[in-house]
Amino acid sequence: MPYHLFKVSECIPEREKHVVEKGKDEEITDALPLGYLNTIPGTLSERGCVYCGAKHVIGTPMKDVIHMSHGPIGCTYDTWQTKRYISDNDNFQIKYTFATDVKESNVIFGANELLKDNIIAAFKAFPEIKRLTIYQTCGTALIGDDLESIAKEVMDEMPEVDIFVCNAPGFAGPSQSGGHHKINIAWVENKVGTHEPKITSDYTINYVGEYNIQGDQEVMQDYFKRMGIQIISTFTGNGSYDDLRGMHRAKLNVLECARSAEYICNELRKRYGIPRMDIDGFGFKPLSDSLRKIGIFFGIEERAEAIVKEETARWKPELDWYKERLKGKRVCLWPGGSKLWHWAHVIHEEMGVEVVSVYTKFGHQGDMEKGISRCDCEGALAIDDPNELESLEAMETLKPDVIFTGKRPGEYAKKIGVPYINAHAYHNGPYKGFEGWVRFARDIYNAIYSPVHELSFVDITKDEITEENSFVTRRMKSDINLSKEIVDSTSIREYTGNFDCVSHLREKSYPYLEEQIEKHKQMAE
Amino acid sequence: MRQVAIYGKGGIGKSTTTQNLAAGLAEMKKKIMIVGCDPKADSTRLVLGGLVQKTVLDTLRENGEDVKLDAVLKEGYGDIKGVESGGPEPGVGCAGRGIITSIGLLERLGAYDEDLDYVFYDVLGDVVCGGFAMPIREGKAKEIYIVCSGEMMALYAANNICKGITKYAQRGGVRLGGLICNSRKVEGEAELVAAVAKEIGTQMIHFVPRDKAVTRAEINKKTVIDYSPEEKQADEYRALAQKIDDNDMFVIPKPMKIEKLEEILREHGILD
Repeated sequence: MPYHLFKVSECIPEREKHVVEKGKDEEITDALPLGYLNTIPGTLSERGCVYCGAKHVIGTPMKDVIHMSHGPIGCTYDTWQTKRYISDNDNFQIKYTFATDVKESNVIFGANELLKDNIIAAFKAFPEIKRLTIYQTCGTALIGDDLESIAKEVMDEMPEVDIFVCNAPGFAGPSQSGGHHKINIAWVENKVGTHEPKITSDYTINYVGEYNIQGDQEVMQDYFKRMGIQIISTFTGNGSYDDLRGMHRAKLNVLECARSAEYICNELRKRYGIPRMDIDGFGFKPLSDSLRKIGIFFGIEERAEAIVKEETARWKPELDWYKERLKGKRVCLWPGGSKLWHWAHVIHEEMGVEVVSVYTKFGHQGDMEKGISRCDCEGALAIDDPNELESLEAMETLKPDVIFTGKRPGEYAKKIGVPYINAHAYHNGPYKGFEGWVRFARDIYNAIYSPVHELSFVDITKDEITEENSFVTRRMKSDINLSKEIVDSTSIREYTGNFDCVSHLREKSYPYLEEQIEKHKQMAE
Repeated sequence: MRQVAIYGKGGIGKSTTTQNLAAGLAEMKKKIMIVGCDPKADSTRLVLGGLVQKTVLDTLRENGEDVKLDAVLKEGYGDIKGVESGGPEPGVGCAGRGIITSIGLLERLGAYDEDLDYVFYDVLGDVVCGGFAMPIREGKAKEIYIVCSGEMMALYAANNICKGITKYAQRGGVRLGGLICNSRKVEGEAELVAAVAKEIGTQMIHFVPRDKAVTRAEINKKTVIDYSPEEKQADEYRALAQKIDDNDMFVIPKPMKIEKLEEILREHGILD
């Protein structure tokens, strides 16, 4: 039977159909775990709520915006600054968080005025910021506070500001995925088409489903600019509010995370006829193919090819250094949604690790389908919406060397001595791009071979400190079983990049892009 | 202490009936408190001679939790104590949550004096949400009277309220004590209301005739017993008070299907 019931979940038999073991020669059609359903009572799900999905994942990476939660203070704290989506305007959007701090009497008498006062106070406190998003929460949704009319009132009184209303209260769906959907639709419905972008290139894209985790967006933006492509907007990492109002003018939507942002791409295709191209910034091969695809679309394939050649020559030897040392390591690939299938195959191919399990907290069945089919390891466990005990049981039976997951499961994995890589906010990212992919490999290497996991089991109050359990380096551990040929190889090397590999990109000049800007300037004259 | 909740369709005369009934009980030397559970805050004006106290929620809004009982609780005719929950203006906020908060606050402030014989909750219109069911939850009011008339919509509402009561009756101890017919001078009214009461499994506890004396007293911010104690209508309220004081018929109602209600209305010539 392909379905799998964890021992710890024997008291919740419904869980069985949410877990599948990938058997030998079995097709994906033999079994697919149930997904994106309401959480089963008693499973202690690690999912987020709809509000969290809308605000924390998609809304807040917009950089020049006051992000205001309309609700009790706790909602806000839990969506503040825990995900490292940086920006090139000094990280305004993650440094400051805003809440209306709704209290009992606001619930009874209505919190419309409270909201209005807070909006005005926030604009006054940050006079350089002219854009604001209001996020609905459960309480204020229940009492029917009229966010749209308050937004309009403020915009009438302050003509220089613009306000977006995100009506996605926590209870409005099974998981954070519902919030992704709601904010996608709300943005295209209310804001796209309300601002005309300045077109400065023949090649224009929206970069969609990209959240600039530790600089991912800026790394990818570098490649696009090197090809002479103008990025009209990024939805939403390092993205500017007004740029995103001009999404309707791009010639192509380049979609990265299809789980969280395919909705807006599909709407832009329907409403404005903009084609959608799914790409992948993770891994040398997928990224190279993605750049080539975009190149082909605009007829500038040779520019993509040049980038691929240059970057591969620079970084492949470093990736291979790690690959030699990560071969055969067992990995649980437990991210949120799309990294399931973005990573499953390519980490096996390019880093040599074995994916022994995939899971998703809020992915839909389509994500599972792609994830399982790209997972090469026989007997791999595919789990939908696992709970803490199930994850622990999986780690005990599968004995992974490392897990890629979020901070909630990550923290309890540490307790049983399993290292984890933060798949959502990263450890030492960015992980996108050629260099980023090497940084990811380095983080995995550092996690697996860190001596801390063995040292943590030594009790210095009574255990004897011997040679074996005292001084040890990663290299001592990782190279012990490698051939001398590999250890001494000069064709491969450890990561040689800088601690900060993003900031310098902000200073770069782009000849192809400048050529385009000049051309469009002359056309305008 | 008997805690009694009064429900019924909006505009049917719940507040008028409750206060006149309370005046009748006060004449019998009963100690009474009326808790108005309507944002309009008009449940105690006849016994207090107008709105003289602040509402619980207004004080909560202005002073936070630091509320003094004296500010919200006043005594009026026959030493009847009156308190108004209050609430938001129409169209904003959550009046239901207001009632929950307000009753909780009254309990903490010690408004429920052990010497009280009766506490009446005068609740707004239909039981529209959980908040308006607060008076019959958690072992507060154990008996309910529904004010109605012989008009179709009033009986329709009464039947609906019974559905709400049934839910809480099965969980807690609340029971229906009867229907109070506040006459609208519909033909065959008493028979119709009695028939509906019987079908639901309860009684029409009293038929209060329509009388100008009620309006006259109301204009003067008084109950009939207070303003014109010798009027015939005053005796009607005394009778209602006596019947409620003596009542021992408390049931879990059996609300009707809408078809059955329509059938009864047809039999009594209402739906022709």
